[in-house]
Amino acid sequence: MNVTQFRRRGNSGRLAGCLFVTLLSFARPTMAADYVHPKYDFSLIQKIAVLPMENLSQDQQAGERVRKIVVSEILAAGVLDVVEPAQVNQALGQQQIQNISSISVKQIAELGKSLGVQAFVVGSVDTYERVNVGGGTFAEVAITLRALDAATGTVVWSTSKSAGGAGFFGRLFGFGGDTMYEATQKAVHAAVSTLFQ
Amino acid sequence: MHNTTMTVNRLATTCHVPSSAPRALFRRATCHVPRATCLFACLLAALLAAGFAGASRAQTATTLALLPFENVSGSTESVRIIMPLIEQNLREKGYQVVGPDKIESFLSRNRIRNTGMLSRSQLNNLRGEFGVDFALVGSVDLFYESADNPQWGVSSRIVSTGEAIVLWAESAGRTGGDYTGMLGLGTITSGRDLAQEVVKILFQTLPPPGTRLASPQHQKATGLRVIGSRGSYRSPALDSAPRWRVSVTIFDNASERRGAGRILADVFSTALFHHGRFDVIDPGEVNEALIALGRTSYGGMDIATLRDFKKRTGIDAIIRGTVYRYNEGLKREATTSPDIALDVTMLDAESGRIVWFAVGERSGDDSQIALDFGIIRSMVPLIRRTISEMLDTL
Repeated sequence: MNVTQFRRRGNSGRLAGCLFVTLLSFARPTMAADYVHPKYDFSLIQKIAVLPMENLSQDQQAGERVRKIVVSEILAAGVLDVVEPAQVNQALGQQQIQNISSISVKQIAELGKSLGVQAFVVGSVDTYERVNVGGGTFAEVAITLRALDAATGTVVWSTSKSAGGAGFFGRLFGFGGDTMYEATQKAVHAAVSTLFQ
Repeated sequence: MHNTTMTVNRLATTCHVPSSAPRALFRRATCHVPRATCLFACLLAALLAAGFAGASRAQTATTLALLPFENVSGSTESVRIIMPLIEQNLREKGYQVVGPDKIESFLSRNRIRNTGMLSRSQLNNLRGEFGVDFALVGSVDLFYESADNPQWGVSSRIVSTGEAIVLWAESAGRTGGDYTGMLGLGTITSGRDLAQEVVKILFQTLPPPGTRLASPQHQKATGLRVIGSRGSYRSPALDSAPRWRVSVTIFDNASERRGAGRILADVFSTALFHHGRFDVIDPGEVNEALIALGRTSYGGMDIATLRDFKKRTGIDAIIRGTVYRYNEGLKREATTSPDIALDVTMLDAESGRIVWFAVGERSGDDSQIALDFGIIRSMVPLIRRTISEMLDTL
């Protein structure tokens, strides 16, 4: 190998390296933090209720929109029965529970008995917005979900997922990307999938 | 059908064979009813049996009670402009019309304010007063008077005054720009002229008078079910469910547009009617039932309400939804493309279970193919397109 060939090889290697680093800089890390209780018997859960989501985003409707999609995704799995949200809301009203984030174990147990469920899904909508990147706007959704055993209030499952944002072409050219619904559905689907693995 | 069977059975019992009669007599029973009468009754029964099954939901319409369309457009002029055009169009099609001017006193005596949604009892009263089997109700969903690009959106239904079943439904909407042709010519700039076009489109599918009106039959897809939106849910129970009576409640409105929930209920009822899977009961029946029960559909209906509701109305399933974004594209400072975002849930009125859930999100630009071709400029057609995609998952 002569010097010219080495330099050409070196140049092409550097080019490949630069390209790799460039591509890596456009890659979006997805938050993936899943927890499944190692000793909990999930076969005990036949019916589940999804409580209202805590909404940490700027969109006032985000909590309910995400909640409905969570209900739909759990139903679509075909494994569990899900209490219709209006029933849950009525039960919450009857027990005068206004703030889900401060619900006590006793209240969870009573709620579980009244709805006939073995577990609850609670969570938060952490991000629900359209962001401007590269001249375009892109939907970004981030959620955190947990499942609580209805009898003890123990966290038996937990996950955080996000979806959407600007991909490679979005950052370069400002187009593409998911709608708010698509990003939400992807995040929820990814989250709920970890419950049924 | 039941009465027909009873008639046949009653005739059959009058022809009996004495138990002690010789074997030969079993071939011919002694009959006290003359043969001609027997034959006539059998023929009548056969005709009734053949006709009744199809006629239970199919009726012929020649006379319509035309109720004033409900104004959800926000414009005070819209109903005044469009009602004469609707009445004229119906008469030109050959229908006999009991016009809004004759209906007015009936409405005030019966204290009917929502003329776009009548309950079964109100429809029965209408039938009793005017002798009509059908009422045409509707709403003006959009009217935007603009010197360069007016817009209209209307929805309409023919409802039987006996059972409050929807027998025909349609929604139509156009902008003046939809008629722009080559070199920018052809744009309709007059709201009234555009109204005439929209009314023609609205009644394009209206059958001629004397034709049987009936709910369309759903054509089951023979290939793979098209899942238009991932994340929708459809209960397997729907595969074996009989032809349900279904109604749509006024959507919860989380958008900035006043009346959006009402518009969605109307257009969704139209789309559901065309889907043909269910018998669609007029939303007015739902409205009245909820008022009578002292309940509201806002925020959801609990199982006790659903069961009371089913007992009162005979409706098997309720469709309710939320509209999150309803942008008609009329704001000058924002995009001129309309867009919509909503979700719907269908509940089994007996069990309270969710049997269908779907989300729809669309803007007028989404269907753009090249240049401006394919863009949906008007709100009502956009809503119809969005809902049709959602119904593909049902």
